[in-house]
Amino acid sequence: MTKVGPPESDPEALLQVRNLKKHFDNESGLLAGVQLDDEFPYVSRSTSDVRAVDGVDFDIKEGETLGLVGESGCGKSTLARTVLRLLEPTEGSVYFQGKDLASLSGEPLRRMRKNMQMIFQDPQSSLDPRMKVGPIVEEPMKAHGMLDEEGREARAKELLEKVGLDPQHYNRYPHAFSGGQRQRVNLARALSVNPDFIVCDEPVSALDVSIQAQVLNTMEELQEEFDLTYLFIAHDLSVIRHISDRVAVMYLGNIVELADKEELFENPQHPYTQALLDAIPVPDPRSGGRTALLSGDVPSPIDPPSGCRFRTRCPKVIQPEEYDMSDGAWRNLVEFQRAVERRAFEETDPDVLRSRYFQDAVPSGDAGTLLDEALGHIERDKFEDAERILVERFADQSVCATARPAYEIESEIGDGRHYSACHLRRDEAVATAVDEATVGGAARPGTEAPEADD
Amino acid sequence: MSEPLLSVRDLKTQFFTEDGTVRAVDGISFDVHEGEIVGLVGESGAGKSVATSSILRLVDSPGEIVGGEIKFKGETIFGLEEDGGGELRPRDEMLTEEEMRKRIRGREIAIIFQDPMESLNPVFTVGGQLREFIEINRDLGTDEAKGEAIDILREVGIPAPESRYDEYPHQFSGGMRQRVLIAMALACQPDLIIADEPTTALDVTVEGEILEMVKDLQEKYDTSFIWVTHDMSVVAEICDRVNVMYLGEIIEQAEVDDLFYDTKHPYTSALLDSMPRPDETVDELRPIKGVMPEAIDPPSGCRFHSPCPEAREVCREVHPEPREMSGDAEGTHTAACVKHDAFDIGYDTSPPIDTEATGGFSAGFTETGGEAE
Ligand SMILES: Nc1ncnc2c1ncn2[C@@H]1O[C@H](COP(=O)(O)OP(=O)(O)O)[C@@H](O)[C@H]1O
Ligand code: SF4
Ligand code: SF4
Ligand SMILES: [Mg+2]
Repeated sequence: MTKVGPPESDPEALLQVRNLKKHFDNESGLLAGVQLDDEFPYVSRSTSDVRAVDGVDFDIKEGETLGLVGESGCGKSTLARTVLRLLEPTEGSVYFQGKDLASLSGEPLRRMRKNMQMIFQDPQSSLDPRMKVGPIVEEPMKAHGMLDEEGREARAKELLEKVGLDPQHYNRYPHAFSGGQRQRVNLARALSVNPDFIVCDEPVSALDVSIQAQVLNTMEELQEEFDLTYLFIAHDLSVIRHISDRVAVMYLGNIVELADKEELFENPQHPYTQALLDAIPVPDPRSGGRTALLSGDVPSPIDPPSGCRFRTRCPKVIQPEEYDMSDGAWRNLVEFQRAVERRAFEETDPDVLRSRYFQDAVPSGDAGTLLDEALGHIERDKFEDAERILVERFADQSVCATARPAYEIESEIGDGRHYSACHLRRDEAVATAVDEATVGGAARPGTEAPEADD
Repeated sequence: MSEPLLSVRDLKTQFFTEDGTVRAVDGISFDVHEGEIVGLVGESGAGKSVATSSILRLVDSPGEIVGGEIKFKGETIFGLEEDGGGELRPRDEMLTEEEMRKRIRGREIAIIFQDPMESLNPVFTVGGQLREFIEINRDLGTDEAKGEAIDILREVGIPAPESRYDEYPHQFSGGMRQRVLIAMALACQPDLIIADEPTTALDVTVEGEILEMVKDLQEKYDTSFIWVTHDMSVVAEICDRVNVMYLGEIIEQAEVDDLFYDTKHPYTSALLDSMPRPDETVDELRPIKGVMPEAIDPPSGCRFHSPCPEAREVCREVHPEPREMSGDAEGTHTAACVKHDAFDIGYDTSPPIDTEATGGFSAGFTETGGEAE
């Protein structure tokens, strides 16, 4: 039996993704293929899962382009492959044209697959070097029993022309083409079976900027002509801004913000999105460069931070309710705690550290007492003890650590829905699905998770 | 201006392949002054990497530096002279291979590549490699070198450097590995660091941090840099002066502000116009038509004439050398484009040519195929 649609089904949605998770166990996942023997003892084994995609919800409307952006390793490609069922989800569902993909198998699944194609980043390795371009384009048609030989050849030539190549090059091998041209061959191949939906995983990232622009323009023209719906993945926000209708921002296996393009770029409501936008270099020497930068690395997806996953790097992490510090004192404390965790200094003299980290504002009251205690440990060169106090009594007490945020807010630009996974939005939220019992980072938003999309 | 730290004159580097002679670097000239960050920008295959390996005399067979002069702090890294019979031979004062290896490379001129794994050995710890490098190059004892290594790791922002010291390269993220390489480059306090697309493979957030760090370190140590990139945003952010390369040649050279606000060469304009912008929604991108031709058989006249929207008949006939645009003798802004008055060869009266730039949708396509990567 084919199940129809998720509960809050939207008739306009071509694709609906609900609470999708993909975990790898360490051996089959990231470290698969790494040699583990006594000669190379530096790969540590761990039995815990890599939570590559960890509870993702979104819709894609027919004919739109949803941009998916995030730093490398945040789970974009795993999400794309799991949506297409090239990877088996650990949990959650994907509905395509209202049908639950998990409920399909055999011929119906094959037919559904024909409607969903994928284009990869590296145009070099995704084309078989021993096959000529024509047969490469025809391959999917053949696999799906489309047309006869003559018909396929005619269609392949027509498609080559559509993607901006010379149909005469039907008989050429991929190596005779440039990177941009090879990506066009990939486009022609994906289009050959007349799909409704194409997942594009960093399709222009490997190309020179001038070639990128050509390929992006072609992709837009093809979308128009063939009524295509795109899930477009990139780490480059400029590319995302150019091509998308709506944008989802991903961080460490979660979507942290989702809104219409203009809304997201002009009115970002998640500190991570803001940080990403601030980090983009602008091709203008008078722009003054990038503003505030994020510090620290993305934490491991094996043991992600509880609550909000961005909290270990967030410049706006919220002060725990039990303290009553000035904002300045709290910010200084957070910066100091992160410096201690990173062992960013060797200094042990409390007075020097105070004047370095707490020049303009010092925590008082209970917080002040705890800080004194931590500084005392550092003076005795006990960095671990200082770190423990700072983390357990401050960082871990923040709402950012104790509850996983999920809020829907009103858009300022346009009337699309705007989802932000940040507790700073709790007062203005029109809907929330915050799960308080999420310490450990494993829990998912409650069942009334706001749909950031429609 | 004072004597430049590095001066490159009419450098030519070629590869002798089965298909013919690849004129990868075809007569480029530029200077790097003390404390300056000089950009070398262009698309892949423009010759940026060949140019930088030429400066270190690291061009491998079938490649060879065939002409020009490279001077560094008054010494000759490369230079030819005619012998009695009209043949070219290396000048006497040209540094020997041993001098290059022992004194120049790594010590006075350091290089950082795009892929840090190429420079780090996966079976040794990061700290151990850095320590050994310092020991060898700075004649320090093991303990002293270790202390120095940890200090440098901390300086380039590696978290918990004491414990990270004992980890292996694969345990570091891409950004951290690149920091380690910068640490290595800095370890000998060189006068010049050549950075070949060091942040291209990194996320913007990490790239931003690294560029910030480089700017700080550059100020602190007054090191000069040659920064190789294809990214105009990086150029805007970090460079003082910029050289734009197209097909083996430098076609425009200017201070960074002039390059963006007083652009003289149509290729530079095209490069700037083809980029999507993060800070505004651009409805239609204006890509450069076609792909860069092969360096084996470069087009006649101006090499950019085929995609150039401003090309005229004369562009096909005359090969423009870079000329001064500002009119002053200091040479602060040069461009190799005949449309400018500095050339005065009848561009204005020459008829426009039908170029790919006026072609239709399928102009994305080359007859030769293949793109240098
Ligand atoms: N080992 C080699 N053999 C033959 N040709 C080469 C070799 N290395 C580089 N080239 C050619 O030299 C030209 C410039 O390449 P490169 O300096 O790598 O460009 P960039 O660094 O600007 O991308 C290209 O045409 C390239 O194909
Ligand atoms: S929930 Fe807290 S840590 Fe997370 S983004 Fe918002 S303020 Fe930052
Ligand atoms: S010389 Fe002619 S073809 Fe070359 S860049 Fe100038 S206008 Fe264009
Ligand atoms: Mg290169």
